[in-house]
Formats: sequence, structure tokens, C-alpha cells
Amino acid sequence: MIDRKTAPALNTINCPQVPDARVVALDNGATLHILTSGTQNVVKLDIVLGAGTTKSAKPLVANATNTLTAEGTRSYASVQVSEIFDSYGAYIWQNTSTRHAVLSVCSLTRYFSHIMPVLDEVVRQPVFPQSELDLYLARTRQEMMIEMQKPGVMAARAMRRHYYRPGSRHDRVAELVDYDRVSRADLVGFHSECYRPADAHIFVSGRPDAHVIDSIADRFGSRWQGGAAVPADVCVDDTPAPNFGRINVDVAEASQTSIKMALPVVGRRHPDFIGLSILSTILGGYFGSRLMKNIREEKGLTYGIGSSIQTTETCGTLSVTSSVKSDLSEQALSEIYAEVERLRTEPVGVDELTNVSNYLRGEMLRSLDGAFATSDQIRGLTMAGVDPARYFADFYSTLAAITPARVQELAVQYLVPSEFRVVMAG
Amino acid sequence: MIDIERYRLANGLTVITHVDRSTPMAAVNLLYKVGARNENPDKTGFAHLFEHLMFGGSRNIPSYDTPLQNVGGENNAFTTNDITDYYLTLPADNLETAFWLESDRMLELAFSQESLDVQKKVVTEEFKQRYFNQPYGDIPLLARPLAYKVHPYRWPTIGSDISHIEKAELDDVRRFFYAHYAPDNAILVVAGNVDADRVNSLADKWFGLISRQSAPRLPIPAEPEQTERRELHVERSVPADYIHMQFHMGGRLDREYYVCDTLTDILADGASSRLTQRLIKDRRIFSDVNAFISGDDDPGLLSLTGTLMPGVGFAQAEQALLDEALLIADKGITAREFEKIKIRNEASMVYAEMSYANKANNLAYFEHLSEAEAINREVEIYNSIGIDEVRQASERIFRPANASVLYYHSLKN
Repeated sequence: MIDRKTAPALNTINCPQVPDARVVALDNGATLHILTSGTQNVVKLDIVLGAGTTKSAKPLVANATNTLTAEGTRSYASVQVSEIFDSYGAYIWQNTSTRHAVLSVCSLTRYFSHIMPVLDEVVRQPVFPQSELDLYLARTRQEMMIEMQKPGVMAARAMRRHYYRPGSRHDRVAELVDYDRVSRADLVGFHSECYRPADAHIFVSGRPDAHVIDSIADRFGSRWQGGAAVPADVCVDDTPAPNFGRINVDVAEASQTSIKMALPVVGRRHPDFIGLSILSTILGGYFGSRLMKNIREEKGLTYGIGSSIQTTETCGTLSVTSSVKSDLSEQALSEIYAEVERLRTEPVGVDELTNVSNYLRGEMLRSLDGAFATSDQIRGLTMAGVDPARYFADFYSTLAAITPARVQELAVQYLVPSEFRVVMAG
Repeated sequence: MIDIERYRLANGLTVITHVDRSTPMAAVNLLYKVGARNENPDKTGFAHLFEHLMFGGSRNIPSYDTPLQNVGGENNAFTTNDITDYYLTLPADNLETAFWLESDRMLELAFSQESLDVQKKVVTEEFKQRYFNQPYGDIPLLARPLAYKVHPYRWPTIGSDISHIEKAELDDVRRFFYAHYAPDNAILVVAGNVDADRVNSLADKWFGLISRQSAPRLPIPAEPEQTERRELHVERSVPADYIHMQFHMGGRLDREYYVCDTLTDILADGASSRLTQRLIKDRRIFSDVNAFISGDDDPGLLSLTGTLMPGVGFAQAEQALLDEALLIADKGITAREFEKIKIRNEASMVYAEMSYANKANNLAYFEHLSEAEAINREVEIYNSIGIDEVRQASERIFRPANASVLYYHSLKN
């Protein structure tokens, strides 16, 4: 008979190999990062520009500019842009964060040269047709109205508005009236000021051939001229406002209560950041976390609860998010505080810490699995000013060195109950 | 092209291995051929509730998750109307832990009353979170029973009513387990940095002595042909009107599935598609529009959906969707559109093969449908479709007597 009671022996989980990106400084100031990996003949290109939401004085402008780059260029109408991408099985999508606008494209390697001319114009020569802007605003306004009926969205909006400082642009959430205030001139102006090569980073991943790389270096290198993007206003401040305590948001007909909690911690480059990531994982970062065990698996108050750390340029925020049974939402909130308190007053068990550490070693491997996932990790770290290979090595050695005492020390220092900002929407 | 090796245990368990040396990881996918279709109409949502209970400990192992996390693993599961799928990834060196865990819960669950009580609450909150706590969330609860009157596809996997979850008892759990959770009703796929010989010997060691199932399974009633148009009007406090048109079509293995997939791609796949260009961009009737097929094992549904722009009425919106559908029945599609869809299908297959975990999941699903090898013939089938087949399908499908239309009215304050 086999022994079903005892787990098979653990084999060491190794630190992932972080592939070295070949970094090329283009003569217009842009930086090209080339990461060749994977088995499939596909290419992904991410063009990162200093054109995030905090660069614009008006809400919605940065998002609209980024999205509408693909809705008409000097030589291609909107329908032609989409026709070309669709016809080659290629995809284009945009993401806009507070700092950056990212234009991403993926394609089969052999078709990449067919989409390059249109991509070139999307980045450099969009024309922002008035009719496309009108349609975009009408559609996104309607989407926003739908989003504003979701308790989780309303909680996140209230948190953003009050967590950051007034006037910092980080505190901004779009209101319906803002959709009437965006003009074509705003987009044209924003594009010409912020879509500049000097601070652009271009990440190529998958299996690009030499021809693909040459063509990227040519079109987004020597052929793309212009200075650096306009720097963000000095008023742009990503530090949190003084604690507002707790806000309740009334959402009509909500069938659950959304809880959103936020706690200022440290930014990505701080020496405690990795330790805090481990602490956040213990609290609510995986299925076996304290919050999941207590609030879902013991009490059944929610389908899911989690904590994670988000970072801006200089700061970090640990947040806890859940949708809970409405009549027991105060109980859920006090259980979250109880779990925070427990981390501060009792050292985490050795078995639990070993378990979390091994889980996170596996997560490190998973995060670098596949050409595109690897590229996304390397891009995120590079743009945050962190060396990817060093970050992974540091993470791995921190996991080996961390002790229950150190976890408790971090909890005492950072998980200060009175510092949590709380929004309850329901 | 995905290479596979197949092995079958004496107890009926199918084992499939796909080797991918580009990753240090392995994915293990265990598919059970049971879904919401196998539920009693008075106890819907049970297959999905049961999926939750599979994480509450098994005969010899009190916790499923902890030992998996301890070897760097991560897992989840999902339930559809046809199947329940459990999947995990872990460093390939620790593969045996996955076999130990999965075989013990196939052998026997812990059947704990406490776990059942908690998971009933968790699933009730999941029900609320997905279906009630967001605008338009209850559409699946309304649309399915409009299109299906007899077949169990008439309820979604969460169940037809929240009260059914409440009624579940431990005896139901036991019966369901013995009826469906057995090696001859399961498919095990391992993909990643593994060897087939090792996978097969681990399968022998851990699954080899688990016995076949004996309990009888309920027969699935076929849905009779729909003979007249159906409609349902509801009012909800949402910002915009929404229309959901459903039409009956073939099952996943019918040629009509591939033809309808092509048809809906031409209508709505990508920004250059017909519905996007004409109904969003040119005519500004919808803020969002879609065409898709359900892909269920048994005969499924083709849906046309749209969120109406302010000032647009339902009659105009419905006519606009039908006009586009019937234009294909009347005039067919262009060779250029057809070529575009073929290239997009081919590209999708290439992207889908980038992830070992995705491959494991797809192989298990194809083995469930027919055989895992069929995944490599998909592009060939799509390429064999003739332009006129798409036109004919459009003619056949978009008939008023085949339509069930849900009008989701915005109750403006």
C-alpha cells in the first residue's frame, strides 16, 4: 500500500533565471529593450511613453489620447487601422496609468512587417478625428454610468479621491460632467507635448527576427525626432493625504457591501518593500492567507478577500478589498482589524512562514513563465526603476532569510491600525 | 501542433502528457465529465457548490491547498454546464505532490458538515457578487430559461435560484461524489517540463487502485425544436437599455459550430467587424455590441447582444441587428472577410500554444469532446468551411421562430 497520509518530499524550488534584455540606446533618446524567448513565432511590442494621467491638467485627456491614437492617422482612417490589424491576426491595445501611456501590439512574427507602417503612424501621427472623439466620449460616458452602479467601483473611486492630496492629480476620478469638457485640441496638444521619444521605452519580446528589430529601431529611432515629454507639474505629488478615517458610500440596491481599505507603506525601491510584500501575502495575498481563512473559509462572509501592494512613483499602498454579506459587514471589518492585530502581537508560525515562502518561490517562477509574461515583469520593474535580475535575486534571498520575528517587526512598524483609510460602499 | 502521449489505466482514467521544455513548470489538469447539466432541476447549482467542497479536505489529507502551496503550487477550478475542471501549476520537480493531492480527493472526499455549511454561505455570496451586485448581472438567469425549456442548460452553473444552494445536504454531496467523481469519468492532462514515462508511472501509483464508478447517471433530456419567437421584458435600474437575442444552433462537435463561430467572428470579432463598424461607428445605435456562440456540448446558442445608445429604441436596435444578420443570409460574405477570419483563427492557435497551462486545459477539453489530438485539426476544419456555408447557416439560424429575445429596460429615475 502507498502511504497517502504523508506528502511526497519537497524538491528545492529554484530562483528563476531572469533573461537579460539587450538594451539599445536609440539616437533620439528612446531606449529599446529586446527580450528574445519562448517557442512560438510571435512578437509583442510595448511602447511606454511619459503620457500618464497626471501629465494632463484635465481628467480623461490622457486616456482619450492613448485610445484614440489608433482611431485615424495621417494616411490611415480608423477603419483602415483596424482592418490592417485584424487582417493579420494582430492586436493593438492601450493602457494608461498615472505615469505612463503604454501602446501594446502583438502579432505573428511573419506578419509584423505588415503592421509596422500603420503602427508607426499610430504612435507618431494620429489625427484624432472629431467624430471618433465624440463617439469615444459618448461610449465611455455610458460605460462610466454603468461602472458607477458597482459598489466596488464606487468604493475605489471614493478611496482615490480622499487618499491622495487635493490638487495632486492622483486624487482625480472622472465625473460625468468631465466627458463634456474634453476637446480635440486637448488631445492634439497632449499628444504633441507628451508622446516624445526622449523618455520612451520600447520593449520587444517573443521571437522577433533581425528584420523586425531593425525596423523597430529605424521607425522608432532615427525617423522619430522630438525632445523629451513635458515634465509633470511640480504640484503632482503621490504622497497620501492625512488620514480621513472612514467614509460610507450609499449605493442604491447593492446586495453586498464593498470594503476597501488603504494603508500607506513604502515604495518599490525601499529596502523594506520585499519584506512587506511577504507580509501582505500572509495577510491576504493567497488562498491560504489569514483573511481568506478567517473571513471566507471559517465564517463564509465573502466569496473573496485579498490584500496587495500598489506602487506609484515614490510611494506604496497596501490595500484590502472585499465584497461581503451586507448585514455582517461590520463584523467583517472588525475581523480584518483583528487579523492585523494578530500579525502585530503574535509571531507568525514557522510552518506558515515556510508555506508562504514556498508559495512565493513558485509565484516567482510563474510570473516569468512565457515570453510575454516575462516581458511584462521586466517592463514593470524597469519602469519602476528597479533592476529586474537584482529584484528577483533579492526576493529569493529575502525569502530564505526572513524570520517570524522580522515579519512581526514589519507588522508593528507598518500595519498601524489607526493609519488604515476605510471606505464601505453598499 | 501539440504533441501528446496517451495512456489509459485499467480503471478507465485517461492520462495525457504534453512535453514543453521551455518552462521549469508543470500544469496538471483534471477534468471531470460532470457539470450543471447533470443536476436535478430542484437542486440546481450543485455541481458548482460541489467544486467548492473539493477544497475542504479529502480522506487522508485535511487541507488541499496548504501542501500544494508548500511545493510552490497554485490552483483553481471552474464549473460549466458540461464539465468541472480542476487545474494547478507547480515547479515540475514537485509533480508528485499534485498526484498525491488529486488522487486522494478522487478516492474520497472528507464529507464534512462544517465545510458544507461554510461553502453554502460562500457560494451564496458568490451568487450575489456575480449576479446581483452589479448592473446587468442577472442576464444569464433570465436568458437561459427563455431559450431552453427542457434541457438543463436552462439554468446557469450558479443555479436557477439562490435557495437551492441553501437546501443542499451532506447526503446529496455523497451521492453526487459517487456518481461522478471516479477515474472512468475523468481526464488527467499533464503539460510542461515532464516525461511521459514518469507521468504514467505516477498515474499508476496514485490513481491505479481507485475503483470505477457504479452509480447511475440521470439521462439528459433533449431540447425540442423551438417553433415560435419568444420574448421577455424586464425593467431594472440600469443606465442603458440592453438587448440580448438568442438563436438555437448545433452542438460543439457539429460542423455548424465551426460555421457559426466564423459567422459571429465576421459579425463582431475585432474592431473592423461588421457590427462594430456599422452599428457602433456609422449608425451609433449601440455603445457596445457583440455576437458569440455558447460552445456547449449539446446544441447551443448563438447570441447577438447590444447596449443601446441614449435615444435609440428597442425596435430600431433589434432591426439593426437583424438587418446585419440577414444581410449575410441574403448576400453572403466577402472573400476578403473570410480570409481575415482564417488568419485570425490561425493566429489564435499560435497564441494559445504559448502557455503550458493553457495547453493542458485545452487538451483536457478536447479529450472530453472527442480526443485530445483533435485540437491539431481545428484550423483545418475552419479552413474547410465554404463561403456559402456561412450564408446558409445565417439563413437557417436567424429565423423569427428560432429567436428568444430579452429586452432589458432601463428604469430611469
